[in-house]
This record gives sequence, structure tokens and C-alpha cells, in this order.
Amino acid sequence: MSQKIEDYSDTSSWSYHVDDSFYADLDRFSRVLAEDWPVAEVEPARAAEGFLAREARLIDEGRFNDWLELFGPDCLYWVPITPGGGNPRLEVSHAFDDCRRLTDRVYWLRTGLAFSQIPQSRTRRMISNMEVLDEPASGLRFIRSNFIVNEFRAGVAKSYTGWYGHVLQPQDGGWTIRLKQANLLDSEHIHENLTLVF
Amino acid sequence: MTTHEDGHYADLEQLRRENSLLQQRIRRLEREAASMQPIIAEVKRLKIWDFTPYGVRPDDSWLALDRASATELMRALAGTDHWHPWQSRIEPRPQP
Amino acid sequence: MVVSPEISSSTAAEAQDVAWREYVREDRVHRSLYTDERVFNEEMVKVFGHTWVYLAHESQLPEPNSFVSTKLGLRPIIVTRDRRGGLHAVFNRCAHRAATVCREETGVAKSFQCPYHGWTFKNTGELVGAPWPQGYGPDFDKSEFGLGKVTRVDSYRGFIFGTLSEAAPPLADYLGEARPWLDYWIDRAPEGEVVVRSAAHRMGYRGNWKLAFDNAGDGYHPSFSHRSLLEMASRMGDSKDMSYFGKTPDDGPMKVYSLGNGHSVIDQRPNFDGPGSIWANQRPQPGREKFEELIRAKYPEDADRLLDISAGGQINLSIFPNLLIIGNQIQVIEPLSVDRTQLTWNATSIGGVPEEVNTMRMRTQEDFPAFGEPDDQANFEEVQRGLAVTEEEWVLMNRGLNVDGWQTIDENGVIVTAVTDEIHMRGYYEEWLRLMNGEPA
Repeated sequence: MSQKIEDYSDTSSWSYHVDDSFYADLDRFSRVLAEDWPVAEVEPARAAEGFLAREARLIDEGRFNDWLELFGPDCLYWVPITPGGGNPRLEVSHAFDDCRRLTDRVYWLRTGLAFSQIPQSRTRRMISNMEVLDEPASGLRFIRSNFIVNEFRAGVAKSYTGWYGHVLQPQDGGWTIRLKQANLLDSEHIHENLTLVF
Repeated sequence: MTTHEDGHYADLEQLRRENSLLQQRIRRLEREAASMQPIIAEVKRLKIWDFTPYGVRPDDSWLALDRASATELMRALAGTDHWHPWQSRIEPRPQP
Repeated sequence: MVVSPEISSSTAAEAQDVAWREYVREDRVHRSLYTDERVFNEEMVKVFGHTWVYLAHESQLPEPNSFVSTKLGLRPIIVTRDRRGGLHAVFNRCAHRAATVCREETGVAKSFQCPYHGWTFKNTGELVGAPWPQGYGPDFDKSEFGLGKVTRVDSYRGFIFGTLSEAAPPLADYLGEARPWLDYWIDRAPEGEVVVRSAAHRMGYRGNWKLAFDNAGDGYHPSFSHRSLLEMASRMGDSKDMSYFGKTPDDGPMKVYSLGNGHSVIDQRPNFDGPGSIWANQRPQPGREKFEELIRAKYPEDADRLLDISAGGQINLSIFPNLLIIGNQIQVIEPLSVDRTQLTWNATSIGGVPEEVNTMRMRTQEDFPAFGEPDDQANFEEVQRGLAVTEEEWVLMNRGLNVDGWQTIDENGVIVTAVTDEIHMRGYYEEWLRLMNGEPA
């Protein structure tokens, strides 16, 4: 047995926090993301736009470790198969990454041994139709947006369309990602090599 | 306490009451809307088959529906936005 | 008729009589079996038609009059239950002018009405009626114009298979020595109740369908093809599931079994010692630690068993030609064209367990489709690319052939051998050959 003291609060190594309440939060986030929101004020809209543009650029530039730092310790990167998310308790997803699995994903991409990323994907994404909701009770910021991710890999150009749901939580005067949900237009259908990051 | 503050509290109290009434109303409307969903789902599942052009007699697993009420049902269905493109499945058809 | 793919030793005149044996030798197969469209077209008739092909799982047709749209080879079909629950499969092709009569994935329907001209068929295929029958002559016989049927449909413990062949043996006999392995996998569910969930990973690759079948019983590739996964799994210092492939696998306890009729299985279970060991070696899923804590607290006597069935079954069972059991998934090979294939990974839950177990099974079943399978499929695509070299005609499957001390054969004819033996390919190509030659079982 290892005698070293483990830091169980390090969610990139341990997953004690993905419990009933974690799933219940997802249900709530999905409901909020499905509502009609009032039009956002200029300042939060501008800030949200800046956040998403920066996130998009980090992914497109392949700066996955920097991208990882945008996520909070209790984050979820979620690419559902069932349109709109469905019930993750009984349905599999393309990605249902808590902090540890997301760290794994970045590590996996960075091993240089993932043949599905040799040659690697080059991507560029457009984000538009942004809506922002600052929820007074929770302090969370919800962002809904549409995307087109263009990918070129191994001689083939593809484009993926869909919408993002972001849930951000305030931290140190900025924001970290609590939930990033990428809903693909054809999420439940055939996909070739879905190892790019959405 | 000044009459000015009294007025404030009275306003606030009135807003609270109004808010609570609205909350109740929303809950009732939500329940009502949710209860419509199974009905819509069943109507969508109805197989309305007009036997006239076929010259066949339906067997005992069929129940007759008045032509006018079938039309009414379809009209009622058309009046609801029941498509939910992001919540319904589409038959998978991979193309080579 | 035998088609004649290009092969350097044959002339056009000989080609007419070329036996498929020329293309499938003891130790190698010809590249054209992966690249020639004519071979593919013939496979879609003979392999996907004249033997038992997996169609669907009974849990996808839960009630009387349920249906599932699927395919038998390239033929669109509808698998249905009649009003008494009996299973059928009919071609999804109107007897009149060929339009599909069903355009939904699943549902409940006593009959299917063709949207084109309104011909209506029972869910068992019989024509109920064509509109305005007076337009057909007096000798119009409705019994001649039902939906075509998949002539034999049978289920083995929930797994529905169909064939167009009257000569094929009974399904249970065809499964043969694969049955005890399928039983093991099904019986990991306390009452044998396996449920296919609605969400599936549908993964496409640009390569021939047999590349997936070649791979499914291949214990040689993991240390190489899955290196990224193995590296990722050791990120936190300890090695997890599958890392044992890295150690001289042929001396290890894992074995591959050639089961006959083209079936095979890799048994990974000898790598695990005792209850709880499968769980302990599973790469970490989201919520793993909380779940284990909860299961151990609530079910102290039963915890190891519940944890083990939350991870995969540790067998890779290949049932020719299109059914692959891996982890907790029912994987189906769907050929699209000679160089396009879909692999559908159906996720399963099981009955008779606390609901948390099934949630953890979902998290387990997201792991390999994300970090393992894509690397294999990238390699399948690179094989297809490499096969463009016409001068290099052969794909080898000779590993383990004539190696002293590897193979033993038991009383049922099952051959057990080292896990990297390519006996799986040699075994299923014998069955492929039999079907392509139209020989009896």
C-alpha cells in the first residue's frame, strides 16, 4: 500500500464530487438553457463574447493545456449523443468529462501516440447568436451560442454545426467553466473520427 | 417610522403578494402544459387509416373513429408546436 | 456466379472458374477482398444473407407490435413483434414500386402504410390492401404481394438474428461453441436482463467492414495501436486496464479461442484475480470514487460483484459476420460500401441492480469509444490506404501458424492458443469461404 498522503480534493486525480447533486445540477442547467431569456445588457454580453472567442482560439490553436485552465475543479465538458442532452444517467455521451477525464483527454491528445490525431486535426470555429443570462440567486452566468467548427484532417475537410451551452462561475474577478455542453446537429448519427475538441 | 417609509413597505408588501400570486399561476400553467404532453404524444401515435379506398374490413384490433373527430384531432395537433427537433430522434441513415 | 477480382496469376478466361480458395489461402488473403466492389456486392448477398446475421436486441422491441428499422447487409428491413409478441423481419420495401414503407427508427405499429401509393401491410408482412382494388384484374392475389420476409428469424436470449437461407443450421447450432461465452456475458446481469439503451456510438471509418472483424479477435495490436490509451492510463503512476498487453502477451494468462463457424473469443479474465479485481483495474470513470464508497457502504457483502459488473465483461467475443461483444457493449458491424463501414456501439444497462450501477456502466462505456477505438479506426483507414498498392497482393494472417506448443484442441473442437495468434482471421475466413462458395454448413 502506498503511504503517501493523497489530496482527494484534487479533482484532476480524484472524482468524489460527481454524485447525485452533480447530476441534479446538470438537469437544472439543461432546464435553464432551454428557457427564453431577457436580452442581456451590453457589459455581460461583451464579456461573454470575449470569453468564448478566447476559448475558441485556444482550442483552434491547439493550446489544450491553456484551454484546460479555463475549467473549474467541478467542471463538465459534455458532448451528448442524445439531442439536447437526454438523461446522462442512462445514456452514453460522446464526451462526459469531469475534471479528471478532461485532463486525461488533453494528456491523451498530447501523448503524440493517438493515431486518430496523426495527422492532427486543424480546426477553426465560428460562434454566433450569443445570449447571456446572469442568474442572480446562484451568481452563475449562462451563455447560449451557435457554432460551426470546420475541421481539416488527413485530406478531408468537414464541418460540424450545433449549439453550445456554457455555464460559468465567478472566480477571482473572472470566470471559470462549470459546464460546457456542445450539442451537435447530428449527435446521434454516424461520425467519422470524433476526436477533435468541440 | 415615517409615512414615507410606511409607503415603501406597503409597496413592497404588495409586490410580494403579486409575486407570490404570479408564481402560483406559473406553477399551475406549467402543470397544465406538462399534462398536455402525453395527450399530444398519444395523438401523434394514432394511426389514422381510412379503410374506404382499400375495400377491406378492419379486424377486431381496430376501433372506429368518427371522420369529423379525426379531422378535429389532426387540427388540434397542428395547432401545437410538437415537433421538438432537438428532443426527437431521427432514423439513422448512413450514406456510403 | 463467381465474380473475378483481379489476381495476377489468373487470366480473364480462367477467371470464370477461379475458386475463392485462390483468394483465401492458409496463411494469407488477397487484397481484393478489401478493395473490389464486386467482391463486396457478392458478400452483401451471400455473407449477409445466407448465414445468421445479428439484427437487433429484444429490449429494443419491448411490447407487442413494436418495430425497429435496421439493415440486413444493405437491405433495409423492419424487425417487428406481432400482436402476440412473436418476432418477424420483413424487407422495408413496398411490394408495389419499392418505396420504403417505414421511415422511423423505432415505434409501435400494427401495420405499415406505404406513403407513396398507400399500400398497407401487416407488421408480419401480409398485404392488407391496395387502394381502389377495382383497378387490379380479377387474378390479383393479395397473398403474392406482401412485404418480402427474412425467411428465418430467431432469438438467442434476446439477441435477434435472421437469415434468408433455408439451409443454415438452427441458430443455436450456428452459435455453437460461442454460446457459453455469450451466456457468461448475459449472466453478468443478475437475471440475465440486458437492455440496449437508446444512445449509441455510431462510428464510421473509410475502410472495408472486414478490417473491423479482423481487429476484434486480434490480441497482437493493443500494445501498439492503443499506446496512447496505455500512456494516458499510466498518467497517475499506476497501470490500469489493458496495460498488461504490454508485457510479452504470449506468455501471459490471456488466450484466444477459435470457436468454429467463424466465431472466436479473447478471454482477458485470467488477468484478474478474484472479486473486485476487474473494477480495480478499470480506467477511472467520472464519479468512480464516490460510487465505490457508496456501494461499499450500502452493500458491504455484495460490493465487489456490483463493482465488477459496473466495468466491462473482459471478453472480446466475435460472432461472424457482424456481432462483436466487447466490454459491456453490443457492437454491430454495418457495411456501407467496399471502403465505408459503420460500427455501432450499443451501450447496455442491466436489470436487478441499484440504479447507480447502471449510471457507472454508462461512464465506463464512454471510455473506449473515446480513447481506444478511434486509434484502431485510424489504423483501419491507413490499411485501406496501403491496400492501394496493387503490386503487393497479400494480407498476412500467419502468426501462430505451425508454432510449436501454441495450439491445443479440446473435445468440442475448440482451439485454444496464444493471444497474438492470428487464428481468429484464419478461422473466420474459412467460414467466409464456405459462404462465398455456397457450400453447405
